[in-house]
Amino acid sequence: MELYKLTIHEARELLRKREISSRELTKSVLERIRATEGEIRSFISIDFNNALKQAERFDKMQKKSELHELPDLAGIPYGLKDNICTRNMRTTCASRIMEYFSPVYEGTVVKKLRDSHAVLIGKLNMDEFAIGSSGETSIFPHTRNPWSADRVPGGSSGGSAASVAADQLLFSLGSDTGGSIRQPSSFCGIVGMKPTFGAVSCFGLVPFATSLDQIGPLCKDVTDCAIVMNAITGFDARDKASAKIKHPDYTTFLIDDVSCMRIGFSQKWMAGNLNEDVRNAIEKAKAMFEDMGAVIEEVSLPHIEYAVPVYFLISSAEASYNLTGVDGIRMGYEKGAIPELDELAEYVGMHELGSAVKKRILLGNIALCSEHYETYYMKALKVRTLIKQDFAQAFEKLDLILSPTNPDTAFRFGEMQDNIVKMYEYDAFTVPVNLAGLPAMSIPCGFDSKGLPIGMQLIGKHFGEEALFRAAYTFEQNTDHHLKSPLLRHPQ
Amino acid sequence: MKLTAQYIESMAKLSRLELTEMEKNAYAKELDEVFRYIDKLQQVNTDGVQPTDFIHVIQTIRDRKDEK
Repeated sequence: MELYKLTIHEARELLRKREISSRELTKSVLERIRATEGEIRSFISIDFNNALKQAERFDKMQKKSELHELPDLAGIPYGLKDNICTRNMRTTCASRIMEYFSPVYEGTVVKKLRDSHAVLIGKLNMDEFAIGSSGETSIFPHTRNPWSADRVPGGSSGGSAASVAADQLLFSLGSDTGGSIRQPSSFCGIVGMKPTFGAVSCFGLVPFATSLDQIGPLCKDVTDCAIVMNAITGFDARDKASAKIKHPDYTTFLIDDVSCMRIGFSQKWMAGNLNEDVRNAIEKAKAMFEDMGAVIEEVSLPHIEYAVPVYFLISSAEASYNLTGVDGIRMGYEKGAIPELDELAEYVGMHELGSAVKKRILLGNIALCSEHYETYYMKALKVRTLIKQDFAQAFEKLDLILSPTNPDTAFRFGEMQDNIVKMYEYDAFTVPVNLAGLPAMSIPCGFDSKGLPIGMQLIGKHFGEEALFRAAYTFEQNTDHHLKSPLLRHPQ
Repeated sequence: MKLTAQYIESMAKLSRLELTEMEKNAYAKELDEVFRYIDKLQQVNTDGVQPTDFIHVIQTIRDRKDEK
């Protein structure tokens, strides 16, 4: 049996019945990585030995029946986006300046997964400091889309999405600031979720834009997504944005029934440049929900068209502040004698930061400087309020809003590099969700004429993950898009 | 607002970034385009609207117990 193909819930059953051991499962995953990594390139660091050690430790514990009740993720191999701090593995953010950074502390999610006895395989490729939507700003070899090697996996959690799509891991974690989990999940044909802001602790996540960042799971199906959510959510005093709420058991929301659910849909939002195949797939999904008893309503989100400019001002302003720590003093590679502090910082800017990062710092600082503060930064914060209110109003009578995750499917390497505004507009469906702090999920809903996966986005109200899971699970149970796997050039 | 290479140079200096001539020109052109796009925000009437920085109330250090 090809164990690496299993979902979490399938593997869990076999582990519980002791039909397989975690060592067997982990070995199968590591062999899959050996066979496919040359093509996919989703990893920055892999720890083969430690992975097997973790698996063996779990097997031993299970043998001695030390664990009364096995945690759901016990013995399951997974990976982390390389901006989530790990104590015994470097954390690079795919940046030259952090290439050898080895944190002395670990992220809360890492600790939670370790306590669940999940098996950490490695750290995954991404855009430099999570700034980008294609994976192309990484200093490491760019991750390829498993469905088509000349196309990007999406970003910034490109490695997290490609590795799960290529069956190199059973699940991974990524971070989502403006769509960085949902967009690559849709490009790679998997399930990706951005939880409500504050649901998952971001302690130990190298920040991009603190008021927008959220860690979330990338999985093979919706059931797995609920299982991972159970393990990673919870209040954490070390994350000042962490929400003090009692988290439900997310797997209880896996109900195959959408009758009487009220789902919002905006024709106006869909009016822009949209690939026809994407439009058709979304229309089909909408019709399916309606057939199964959901009520579809036109929703008005009057300020939604301003979300992209608001997002770029706020995220850049916060990034320019967060990146002040990257000045070459605390980290950075050997640079010989540089006499003045200012010169050191400038040297770092010149030699160690990529141009996407530099442009964001400049954009943020221009928006924040006193002459533009009111016109740009403050204006963006106010329009953010209006966008938040639009959603609040819509959710007074809705359970969910349905949209595409992206206006198009995965693009080719280099295709977007000269057109920064077009690349920004690619995020039109994902960024409003972060501005309003809402939960959202991207699930596979079809393929375009080129055979590339299409993602559908479901948006819920604050801590309204129940409706999200219910609709996503129902859709998945009645379709087979999530069961298709990419054909890799060098199958095992 | 028109972004020139000189302006980018002065902003880069304040941001402690050293840029090559080529970068200054390229970034001026690109960011000028970005700000022209962003300028559509000015159409929105925001009189009397409160700014949103964080979605939830953020806990402060006072919420945290002293512990070792």
